[in-house]
Amino acid sequence: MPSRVWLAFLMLALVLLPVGLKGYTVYILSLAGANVLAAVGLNLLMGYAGQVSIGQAAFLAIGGYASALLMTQLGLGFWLAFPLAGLLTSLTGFILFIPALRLTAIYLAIATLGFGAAVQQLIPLPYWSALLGGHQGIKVPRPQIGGFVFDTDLELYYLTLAIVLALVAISWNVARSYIGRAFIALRDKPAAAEALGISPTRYKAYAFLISAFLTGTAGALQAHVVGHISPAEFGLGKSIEIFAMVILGGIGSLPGSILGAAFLTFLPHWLAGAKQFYTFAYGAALVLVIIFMPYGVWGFFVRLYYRFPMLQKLFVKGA
Amino acid sequence: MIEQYIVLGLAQGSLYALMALGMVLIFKTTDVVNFGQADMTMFSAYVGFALMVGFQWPFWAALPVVIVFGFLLGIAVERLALRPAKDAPLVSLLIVTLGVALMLNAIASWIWGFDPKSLPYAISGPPLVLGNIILSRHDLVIFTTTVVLSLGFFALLKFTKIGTAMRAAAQNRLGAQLLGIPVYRINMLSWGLGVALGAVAGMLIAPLVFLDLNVMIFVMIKGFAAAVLGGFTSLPGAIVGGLLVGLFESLLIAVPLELANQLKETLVFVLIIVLLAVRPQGLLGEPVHRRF
Amino acid sequence: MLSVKDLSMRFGGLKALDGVSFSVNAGEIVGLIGPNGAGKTTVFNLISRLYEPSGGQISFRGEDLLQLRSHQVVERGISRTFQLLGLFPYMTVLENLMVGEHRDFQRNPLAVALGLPGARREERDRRAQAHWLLRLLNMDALAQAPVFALPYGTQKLIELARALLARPRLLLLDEPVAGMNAAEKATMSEFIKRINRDWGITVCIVEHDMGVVMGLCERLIVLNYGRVIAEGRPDEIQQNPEVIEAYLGEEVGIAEA
Repeated sequence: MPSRVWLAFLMLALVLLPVGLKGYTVYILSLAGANVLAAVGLNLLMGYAGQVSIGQAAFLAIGGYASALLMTQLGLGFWLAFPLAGLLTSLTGFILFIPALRLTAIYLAIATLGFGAAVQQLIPLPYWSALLGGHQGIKVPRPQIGGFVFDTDLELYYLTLAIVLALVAISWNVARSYIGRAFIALRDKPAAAEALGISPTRYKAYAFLISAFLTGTAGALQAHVVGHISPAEFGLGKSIEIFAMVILGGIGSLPGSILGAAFLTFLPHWLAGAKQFYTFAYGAALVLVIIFMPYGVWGFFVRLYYRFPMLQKLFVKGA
Repeated sequence: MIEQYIVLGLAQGSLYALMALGMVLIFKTTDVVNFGQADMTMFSAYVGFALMVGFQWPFWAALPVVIVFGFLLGIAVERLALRPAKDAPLVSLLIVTLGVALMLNAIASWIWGFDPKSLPYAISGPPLVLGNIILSRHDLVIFTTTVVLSLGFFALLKFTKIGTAMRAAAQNRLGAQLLGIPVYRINMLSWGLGVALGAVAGMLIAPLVFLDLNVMIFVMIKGFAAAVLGGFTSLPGAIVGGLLVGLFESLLIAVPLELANQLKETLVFVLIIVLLAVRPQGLLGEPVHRRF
Repeated sequence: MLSVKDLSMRFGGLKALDGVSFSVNAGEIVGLIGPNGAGKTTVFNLISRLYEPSGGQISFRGEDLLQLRSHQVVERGISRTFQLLGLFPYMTVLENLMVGEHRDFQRNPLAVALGLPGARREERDRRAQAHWLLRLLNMDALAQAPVFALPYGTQKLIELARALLARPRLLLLDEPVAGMNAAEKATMSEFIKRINRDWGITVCIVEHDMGVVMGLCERLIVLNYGRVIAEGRPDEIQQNPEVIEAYLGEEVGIAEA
């Protein structure tokens, strides 16, 4: 199967990617990995299930704090704390699922925005500052599996790579299954979907659960890579950044979300040299990408692929 | 005592209402949620600052210039950023407005720097005392402006030819096009008017806060929330929503409980979510019918 | 098999249905006809529980349908097509058909997410089943085509195929031949007959095309202004003065058939 060969090449490239790169660049690569999970999580919710959310940063925060506290307060190992953080976040996904049963489109967007604002406002309250560290936040322990501590940028990169690959594979399985089809069916023709036996309640719940789970693990991963977590990182700006990753990559396409996340993670660092032009260039990049690639980067590639038969030969049918 | 909070809440709410009105106007005719409303408002307020502080113009001379500026800015944004991106899905256009916002933010920082600026009030002088209510003259200007502008808008939409065209375009774009209504020009006009409304709001908000690059974002979020609360496609809904949010916020301050104050934003959103759960189409929005 | 008693439906002040009663017997092809706005599609939407009736009863094989939610109706053996296509435009033909098999996907989401062998096998089996039906319809070449790119008549046929994959006992078809040319109409009529005869599926059709209705249906129920005005064999209905009256002024005259 040629598509498997391409996949193997891609894996190899990802394994070899950090060779010869500066430690800081490898660190940014790990952060890009965390963003990939967040973008894929939002794409399943928004691109597939049609539920717009601009409060995803809240799930990042919950996942990050949960993983850190499970390790420091309960003494759990990373291999247990990390997935548990994802599951805990996924339960909080129910908070959004309940309004989503009644609300659509712009009305749901405001509810998710409120959720994001609420979580960011609740974290630094003095009542639990002993635990959450108030505005300063808390230190997050390095991941440790067995006796091995993931301490260097390179070690963290490989840990991130393994986790991201596993979770993207899971997302891919869901997206290509009857669950993914049910999401799209409910998004495009809710009446027809219901008449075929798809329960809107159940599948909206699935969408929020899996999206919150992925975003929670993204938050946990980011916290462990950075080594610190504070509420300031999880404002509306972060939610919108994740939103932009999904849109730029191509809404409804998982490979697109991966590209979008990588692109927007690195963009600030590429532009860092431009100092005072940075914000301007970032904004201009957003506008230009949408103007010239209306269906995102992935949609652009797909169009190229169909335009040039040469490319199609390279990948064979169904690649 | 409570009357005082009500009046302050209504004043604050009027500003949210103006912000909401601009966003609803743009959304109603073009289906685009303008996430750049805050930065466009901010930029217009800076222009006001330049005129009033730099050139020592009085408020009433600066205001019309700022309104015209906002109008032209809106037209430019529609013409240069949104129209070229018209092939993209609607959610993507939200990112375009955000990109424009970042660019404006950068330009403002080049011209005016990062230090907060303070703007003079529209009218200075001792506050008015009505019974046991104390009302600043600036608040009075806010009330008057909001009332005049909203009435003016309804009149524009209801009684003028251009207003009828705008309402037609909002209801059925294709139909309007077939009737020979120039939809592009209507879009440009909506953007112009929507951003101009924001510019007025900016001129009125700026003296109440220290004007900096990001201060308007909070007002915009409240305005957005207010617009959704009102129904998001309803102009009267935007006003009612804005006043309600302002009122609720102000009454929260009146509650002698520290937690209520710490969680002001959260509680505002909780209220909105609860109200929307009861009425998913917003207070004055039209109910969404299931279509097959 | 299906029994509708005294069914009423109001939209605001408008009475769409007013005390409609009829029944569908196992094995037959029944036509639900009437002028535009008579309430035919409303009856279908009530049976599929998309609307809540203002009054009356609907029972299917002895079970009260009004106790069910919309998505549970198909599990009892009723599937349907929609007047204005209910296909999912951005899916391929094959994906659309596989949504039709939704009730047969039993593997739990965790097994699906982890890509366990059982879940993969289920996906494979369902896909094979969908391909089988496509071959039967001579449409297997279209399996990977996105639905929105196909001609209208083909889409109608695919929607019917999708409804069949839900394994119905009773199939509700809302204007199955609307917008089709003569050849497509013939194919569709033939296929509906075959479903009924060979697979034993009971069919209830809402249709304006009298030629197709007269050729297919063993029995007709005529609605007008939300009431049943006549019921009987096609030849009886054609002679019924009240029915002719109701159709006067309609562009499709019943006498033409």
